[in-house]
Amino acid sequence: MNYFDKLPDELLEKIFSSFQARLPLERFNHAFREDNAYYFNYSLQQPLLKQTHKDISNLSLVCRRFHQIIHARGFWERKCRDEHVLLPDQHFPEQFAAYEQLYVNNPFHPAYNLLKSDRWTKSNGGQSRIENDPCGSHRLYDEFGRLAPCRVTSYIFTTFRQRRSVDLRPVIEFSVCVAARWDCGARCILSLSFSDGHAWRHGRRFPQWNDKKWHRITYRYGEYTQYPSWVDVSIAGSDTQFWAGFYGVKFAQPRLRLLLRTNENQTNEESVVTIEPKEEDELEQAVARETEEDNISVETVDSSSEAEEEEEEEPVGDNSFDDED
Amino acid sequence: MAGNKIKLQSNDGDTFDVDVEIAKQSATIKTMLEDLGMSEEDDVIPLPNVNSAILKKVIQWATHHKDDPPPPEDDENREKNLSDISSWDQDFLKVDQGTLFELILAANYLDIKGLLDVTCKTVANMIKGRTPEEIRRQFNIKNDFTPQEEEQIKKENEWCEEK
Repeated sequence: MNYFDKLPDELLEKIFSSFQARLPLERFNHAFREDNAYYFNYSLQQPLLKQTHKDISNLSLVCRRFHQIIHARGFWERKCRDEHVLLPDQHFPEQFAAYEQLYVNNPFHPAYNLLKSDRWTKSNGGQSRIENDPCGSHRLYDEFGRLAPCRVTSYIFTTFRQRRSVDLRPVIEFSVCVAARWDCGARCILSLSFSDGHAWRHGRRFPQWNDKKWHRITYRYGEYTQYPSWVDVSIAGSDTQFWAGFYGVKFAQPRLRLLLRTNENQTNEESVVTIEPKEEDELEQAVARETEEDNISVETVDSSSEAEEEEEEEPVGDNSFDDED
Repeated sequence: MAGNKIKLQSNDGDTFDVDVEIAKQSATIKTMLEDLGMSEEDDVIPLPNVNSAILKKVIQWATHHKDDPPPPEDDENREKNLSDISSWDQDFLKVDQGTLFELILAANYLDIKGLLDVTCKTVANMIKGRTPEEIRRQFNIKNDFTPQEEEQIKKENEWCEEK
């Protein structure tokens, strides 16, 4: 008998949440703030966080129910807060979804230091020593109450340098779902133009008598040198039979979001996922009006032909939709 | 009121006389007594979700912990209490899986925070450090992933290893 089946989800979550990277509150390992919230010395806490994350990730492989509970919305945010990885006043937008990554590596942790003590270089000919107890000066303590070691220079002017990236360099992800009526061919061109000159284009053709399926097209841009300050998003399309009425390409769920980088060597990625229909949705979810006017503002300069011109320069055949029938 | 007793009745009909202060470690019973105005002297408090064997264990636990300081409302300083399970609790929880899980359910129903924490942590310790297959075997859990799904999840879990 599987006794976990007897427990409701919230108790399973409580058991999984018992896997904790908690340090005992000891002298020199934590710092209280004015609001009485406290945080740990990150260099002591982070290895435990990584191990706990590994243990819990391992649990997610046991069965579907375990996986669902561990990946349910809120699970990792609660862990971040319970284990003082995020402080009470650290909030992210509602849509933020990278708490699992933050649990393992939180660059917003109050004790996170981008400067690494072993990465300094000193100028050629420079002289220095490390004093663990400052000689001839008062002692200096860190936020955890520990005596701070210092570097001391000599009579030669010495420069210490370290270059660190201060850019979180999020991956920029664009996604949109596109489809066509089954009885009419359609085409679409998606394009992104970033302020750093990078551009992405994706063309797609749907034949007449297609299988009605939606396709979620996603592009992730991570290989930039400098984080772009803006992106122009363009979604273009029409039907290919020149029928009067709205028989052209359909698009839904356009989304642009920022993802925390999980891999330093993140490459630019394009992916297309075919979405299988859910018949019950069509039956169960009634809509008030099947169609309505689309009253978004119209550009004053006519740019409707731009996409078509571009399309001729760059055929979309490679990405064309193959009718499975 | 010290020394006053109340009667707790399990779902199989047995009645247990318990000191009020011990019984009040259960927030559920405390609410019944204080908010719902149940009298301590005469009434029997029925506990339809707990059988005799489990109720006996719960009373044993609550009796041992009757002088513990009340658990903190927020999470302040909880680390000291939670990170380790006392040796008495460890011995107390050397029970079969069925009893352990019944204790979790009873602690949840009776809202006894200390007992719920310690039983959940005990299950967590039983799981910790084991492979998914070992956990499945230990708790008789069916692997309901397809091999492809299992591969996919392993891949998803890899990002952390790379860091």
